[in-house]
Amino acid sequence: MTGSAGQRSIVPFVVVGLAIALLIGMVVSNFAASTPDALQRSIINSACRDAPDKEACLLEQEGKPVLEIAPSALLGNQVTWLSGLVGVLATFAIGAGLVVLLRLSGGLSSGTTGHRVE
Amino acid sequence: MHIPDGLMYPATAAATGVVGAGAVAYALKKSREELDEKRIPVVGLTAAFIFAAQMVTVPVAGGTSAHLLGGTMAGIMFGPWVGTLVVSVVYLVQAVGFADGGITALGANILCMGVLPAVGGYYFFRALTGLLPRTRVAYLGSVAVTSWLSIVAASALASVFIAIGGPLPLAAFPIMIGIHALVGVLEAVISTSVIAAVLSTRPDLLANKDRLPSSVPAPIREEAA
Repeated sequence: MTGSAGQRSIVPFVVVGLAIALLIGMVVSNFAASTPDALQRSIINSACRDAPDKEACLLEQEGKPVLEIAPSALLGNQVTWLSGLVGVLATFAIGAGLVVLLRLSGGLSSGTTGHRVE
Repeated sequence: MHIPDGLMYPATAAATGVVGAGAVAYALKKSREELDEKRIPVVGLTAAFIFAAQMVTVPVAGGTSAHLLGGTMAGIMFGPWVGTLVVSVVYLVQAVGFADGGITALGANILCMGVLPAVGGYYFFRALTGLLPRTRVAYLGSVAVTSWLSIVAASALASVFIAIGGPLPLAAFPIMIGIHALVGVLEAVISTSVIAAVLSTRPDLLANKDRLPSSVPAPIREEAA
């Protein structure tokens, strides 16, 4: 470590950040709410806006298969932790891999200045 | 706000797919200018964090739940086009691997929740911080306002896709915006918390260095190209 933040190693920051992401994806996600998200709620509410029995309509619409969108749809709710593990690691690998490919193709700057102000 | 398959007409899905692919291609090109080698792992980390955070839906009100989108947060952290790239990776993994958001709606989802918040949010944030004093409160307040606004704007664009370019009634438009005005508060809280943590620990990793609070050491603020 040196006095300047620009010269500090990025490794501890990434390791801690990845651990937090895995904790969220594998543990905290098990406690996610199962109620419809805002898009699903908008669809349900607009579908039931003029229904004679709004309450019954809402109940029926919330059970429609088209509204069943969930991060765990492929792997199932019982293995949310696995969805989190696979998803977090895959996203990390693809995100970092993409910019590594950019670097290999001769693109990125080697300095520490970061973003170019536009 | 992930638009599933079948919620847009085929022509809308095709058009948004082409424009979304073009935006990602442009983001790849511009990322070469915006990103330095030091931040390569941070790009992957931010994408992974947004993926994980999007798995956690929390109840907001009226039987509705919400989660972080993270587009504006990524734009403020990395700049508009690297930010777009980060969230595009998240939506790609979600659509292909986890059936979260439709494959045919991937372009629309990238435009709504990626390009608009990352690019639009970035420039709005710069405009806002340009008007305000260089304090930590003003900086983080700008993050919060931009994050909230980006969610409302994203919901408006999604409404155009599904209510004008799709089979939903126009009545969905005000409902979408009304609900997302509430959801935006959650986005503002999480995005501001994350940016505050980065600002405290590694301000050198943030874009917009010329907008950083004056409490950040001068060498870091002067790193801007």
